[in-house]
Amino acid sequence: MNLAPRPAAVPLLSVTGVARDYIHRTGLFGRATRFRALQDVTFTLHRGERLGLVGESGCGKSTLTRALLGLDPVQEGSITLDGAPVFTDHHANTAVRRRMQVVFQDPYGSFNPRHRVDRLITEPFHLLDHPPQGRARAAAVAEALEAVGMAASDAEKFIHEFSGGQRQRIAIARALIIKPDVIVFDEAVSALDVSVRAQVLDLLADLCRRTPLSYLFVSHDLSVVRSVTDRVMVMQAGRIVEAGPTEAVLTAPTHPYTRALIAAAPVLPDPQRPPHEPASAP
Amino acid sequence: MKWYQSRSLVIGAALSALFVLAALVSLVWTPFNYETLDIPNKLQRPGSLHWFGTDHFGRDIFSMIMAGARISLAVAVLAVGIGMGIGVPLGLWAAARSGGWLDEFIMRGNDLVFAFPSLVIAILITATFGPGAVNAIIAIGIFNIPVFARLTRGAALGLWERDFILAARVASKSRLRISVEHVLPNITSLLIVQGTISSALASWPRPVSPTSGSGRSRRAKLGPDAGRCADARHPCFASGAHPRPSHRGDRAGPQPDGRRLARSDGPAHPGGAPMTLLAVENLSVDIHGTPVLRDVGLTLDKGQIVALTGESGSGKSMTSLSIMGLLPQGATARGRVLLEGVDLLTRTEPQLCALRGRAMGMIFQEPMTALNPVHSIGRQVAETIRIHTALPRAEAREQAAAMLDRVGLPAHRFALSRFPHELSGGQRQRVGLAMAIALRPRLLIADEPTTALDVTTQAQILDLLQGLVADFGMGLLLITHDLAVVSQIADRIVVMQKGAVVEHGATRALLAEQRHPYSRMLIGAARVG
Ligand SMILES: Nc1ncnc2c1ncn2[C@@H]1O[C@H](COP(=O)(O)OP(=O)(O)OP(=O)(O)O)[C@@H](O)[C@H]1O
Ligand SMILES: [Mg+2]
Repeated sequence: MNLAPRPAAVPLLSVTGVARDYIHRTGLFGRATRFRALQDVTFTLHRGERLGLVGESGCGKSTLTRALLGLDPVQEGSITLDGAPVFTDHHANTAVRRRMQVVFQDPYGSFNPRHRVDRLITEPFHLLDHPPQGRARAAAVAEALEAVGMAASDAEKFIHEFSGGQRQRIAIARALIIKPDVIVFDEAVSALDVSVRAQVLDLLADLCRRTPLSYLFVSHDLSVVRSVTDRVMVMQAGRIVEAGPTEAVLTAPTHPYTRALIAAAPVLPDPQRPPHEPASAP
Repeated sequence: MKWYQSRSLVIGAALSALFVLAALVSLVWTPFNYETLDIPNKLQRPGSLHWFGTDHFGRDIFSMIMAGARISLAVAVLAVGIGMGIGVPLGLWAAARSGGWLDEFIMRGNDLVFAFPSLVIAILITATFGPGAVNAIIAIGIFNIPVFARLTRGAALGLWERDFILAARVASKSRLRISVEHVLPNITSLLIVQGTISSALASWPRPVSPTSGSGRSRRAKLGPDAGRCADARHPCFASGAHPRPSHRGDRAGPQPDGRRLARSDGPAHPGGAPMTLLAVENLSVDIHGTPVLRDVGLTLDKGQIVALTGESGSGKSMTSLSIMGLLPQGATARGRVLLEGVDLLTRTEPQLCALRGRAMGMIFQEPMTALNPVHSIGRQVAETIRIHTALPRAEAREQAAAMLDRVGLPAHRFALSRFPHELSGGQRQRVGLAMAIALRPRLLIADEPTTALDVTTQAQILDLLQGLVADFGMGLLLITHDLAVVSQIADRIVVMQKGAVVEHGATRALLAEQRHPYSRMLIGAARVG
């Protein structure tokens, strides 16, 4: 896929030495054990950069996403956007949060089924001190919907009237509506099938060409990350074990874990070659 | 469907209206004064004068019933009002602060009320404050508080894990606001059902005599018990709209004849016994007159893996729902779906239910809807096992641990006491898988079982499924759009497009030949991907 060229590096989102602990308790009075889900995570997302994050199930990708969005506190380290912390004394920093948005995996679970699209995608307006009203609001809704290839008239519909792919477009419209500096995609296309996924990824590339976007694209699927990011980080058990330009990492991985991840990707057998037994014998 | 076309709704509404009418009219008029004793006319038969006859003291029963309706109604409305008014906010609050001390406090307090024999409280209240309708209302109301609090918390907890709530949190909405704006509207139907049940119990119809002790204590006793049935924790609710995947009632471990069946080159036929597990013949499905499936046919042998593939909307899920007997309302199916020779389309719902309990199971794609947020993962898997076997609790738990271990969630790292929200997306999907395979159904339908999993974990799960097929002769219908996955483990591929099968055949042959242009397109897309 053809992303727009990357502008010069200006740090936007800085993550330094972040650690995140979960407390696991067994039963009501059971022993509490501390589980470190993120360990010394450090990276920088530059303005206009498309950064990928891959790793196996349970390695801490969503935990990092939540910390970036200021949904959860971190135990060590700092996360700042343009120098301002995302989380300050027990609360997410609203000034920072209005500059970040998120798109989740589940096209069926990311919308309140009782609201119309219009209300769904304007939810981020809650972050603004002076959200647009009346005409301006309608214009913003129409603009966001059209940006993702939907019609302005879709604003009147309920979410169940749309397919999975359309819902992910609407989710992207919701993320775009307040023109955030950073968007986080957490497995945003994992639930979509190949052709629909390709359309959504195309849309993303298209949006990047029109306005430079900065995003973190989280996925367990290497092939998806390859098509929409400039740089990629590989995470294993809460640590970032490898990072670098996407093509370089995927074609010449240096860390054994990255190699294992690439090798495990199932591929269609080549019909030209003689058939062989699948290499997944127990 | 318009509301007046639903017979049960019309009858129910009419009866309720009659009841309310009687109560209202009794305020201004009853045929007789229901309190006037008329001993000479005691125990009269129903007649033109006394419509329902008279009681031991000659009081007019019809008048008593009219006046009784008034009190029943007041009890129902007030008692449920107390229960809902206090229970629902408590439940919402507990869910919003899940895991915090407040949640703990509210739920333990609830347990206390729940654990107290309801009769004791009723007696306590009447003993302290004297008998009377008001005290009865308070007693019943108090019982309704934990019922509603638990129900609300359970349902709300599930919602708090949904992405749309996370999105609202990203928009910096407060927990209170999210509870009111997003959580409450999505649990109203549940609350209405519970409210109806509770008020029916509270307003046990009876003739007026509010001080009669027996009636009250009986109702009070019924309250919490009935509440428990409608509690979201109950297994029949825990499984939600999805019936639990099932198994055939055998115990853990390989079967005596647990031979590994040869699978690579088509099914083996030891002894020439018929091995066909599932045969779908000319299956056509219409929904409200719109055709969604046309003449679908496929067969699946024991110990075989058949992949059903195609784009979204091609009818893959509709086919699997037809097999499970889970078609949506307004759908009509023609053709035959034979499971071990029995046509499922001609089975009644209870018969299908029993089959779902023993013969066929299904893994759904969305992990959070299949899991109950208020129960630990160990308990959920163990309970699924126990519903379908007579296994003792301890053994079921052991087996649950073994199953979770097999899906890559070993107990030493993932304690059985963990809750679904304490797991990552892919880990939740694997708990759902563990539940389905723990039951070892003869036919397992897996709808996109690995979408949330990275390639290494996916390989592990596919291995596991392959092992089950080989060891137990299970038939696996794998629904996936991922052709690369299909090519690794399926024996046969069925390609669907626009509700019809366009190509099918042995995996290798199909991938090599690609006779249908649509298959070529799919395979091409997968290669580029
Ligand atoms: N609320 C929680 N309490 C305790 N442990 C948690 C909690 N949420 C996640 N974990 C644990 O933290 C680890 C990281 O989870 P996370 O959700 O970040 O994984 P992930 O990389 O997003 O995985 P996936 O690809 O499966 O979604 C997992 O081992 C998980 O069990
Ligand atoms: Mg995740």
